[in-house]
Amino acid sequence: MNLACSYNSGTSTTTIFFMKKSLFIAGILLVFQGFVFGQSWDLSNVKVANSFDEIEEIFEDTDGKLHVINFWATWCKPCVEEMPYVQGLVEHFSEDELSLTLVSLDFKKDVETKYLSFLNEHKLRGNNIVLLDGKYNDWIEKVDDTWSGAIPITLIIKGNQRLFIETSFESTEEILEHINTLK
Amino acid sequence: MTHLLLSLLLTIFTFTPPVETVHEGYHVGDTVEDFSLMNVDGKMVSLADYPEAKGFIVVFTCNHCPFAVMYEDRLNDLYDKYESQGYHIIAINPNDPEVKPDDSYEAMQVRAKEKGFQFPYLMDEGQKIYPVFGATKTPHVYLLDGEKKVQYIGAIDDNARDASGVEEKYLENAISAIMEGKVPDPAVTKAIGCSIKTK
Repeated sequence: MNLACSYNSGTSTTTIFFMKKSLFIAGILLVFQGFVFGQSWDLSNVKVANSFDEIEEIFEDTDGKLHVINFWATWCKPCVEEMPYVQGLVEHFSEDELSLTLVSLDFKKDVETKYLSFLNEHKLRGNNIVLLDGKYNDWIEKVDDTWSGAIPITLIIKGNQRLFIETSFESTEEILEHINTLK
Repeated sequence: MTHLLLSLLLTIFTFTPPVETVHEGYHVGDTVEDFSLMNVDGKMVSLADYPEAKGFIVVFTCNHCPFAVMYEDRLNDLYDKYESQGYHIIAINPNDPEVKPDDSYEAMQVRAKEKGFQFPYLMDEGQKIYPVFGATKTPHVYLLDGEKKVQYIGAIDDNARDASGVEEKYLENAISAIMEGKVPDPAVTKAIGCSIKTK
C-alpha cells in the first residue's frame, strides 16, 4: 500500500509526474517515492474556500471511510504542536480506510506565504483546505453546536457516528483511542 | 443481517454519551461574582470599584493571539465611546505565562503602554477567574449590566480581520439594547479564537 501516494492525489503536475515515473520505476520503488519527493503543495492542490458552504460536504461520510477533520492554523501554537500526531494517523490506515482533511483558518494574506510554506516544509498529508469565511458565527455551530470557537478541534466521522474533540492531542495513540470508540 | 447489526450498533451508539467538552461558567442571565485581579499599573481592580457602573464589558484577551491583537484598536474605540456612558471595559488575560511567555505580566504592561490602553488590563493570576466565567478563548466577551448580570456572551463583531468590513457590531448592539431596556439579540455569538493556554 502506497500511503504517500494516497495523499498525493491532487490534480497537480505532481500526479502527472508521478504517473510518468511509475512507468519506469519498479513498484517497490513507488512506495518510497512519496518519501523522496514528498507532496508539493500550491494553489492548484489546496482548496481555498471563501464560504463555509463550499466545504459543507466534508462533514458527510459518503464513502464509508473513517473521516478525520482537523481545524487548525499556522498562527495557532497548540494546533501546530499537535499536527505531527494528527499526521501520524496516515501510518495506521490505508487510503481506502482513512480520509484526513486539514481545514486551516489561516488569514488570506498568509495563504501563499506562511501557510503553503508550512505545508511544504512539514510535507503535510491529507486534503488541505483553507477556509476564509470570517462570518464565524454563521458556521461554527454547523461544525458542532458545542464548539466555542477555540482551535484546534478535531471531528471524527464514520457513517452516522460523530466525535467532536475540542482539545489538543499529545500523541497519535490518543487520537486512535477516540477512533477505537467508534463501531 | 448486516443492516440489523448496523442498526443495532447505531442504537447502542445513540445511547452512548457523546464525547464533548462541557463548558461550565456563566450563561446569559447569570449574575457575576466580583473578583479582584492585578492591573498592569500594579493596583487591584474589582467590579466594586465602579459603584456607578451601568455595565461592564469583560473581555478575555491577551498579547499573543492574532485574533486578540486584531481587536486591540477596537477595544480602545469601545473605551472612547462607552466609558463616559458608564460601561467599563475590563480586559483580563487568562493565559498561563509559563506556557505563553508573551502573555506574562511584564509583557502585558509593555503591550498596554504600546497600545495606550486606558482600561484595566488584568492578569488572571493562578487562572482562577476565566473558568468561573467559562471563557474558552481569546478574545471572549461577557457584557454585564449594572446589576452584574450577564446580558451578552461572544464576539465583539462579525469581522475580526477587517474592522471596516464589519456588518454586525454584536457587542455594541447588545449595549444599545441594554440602554433601551431591551434584551440583546443575539445574546450569544461565536467566533474563532485562540484557546486559553494552561499547563
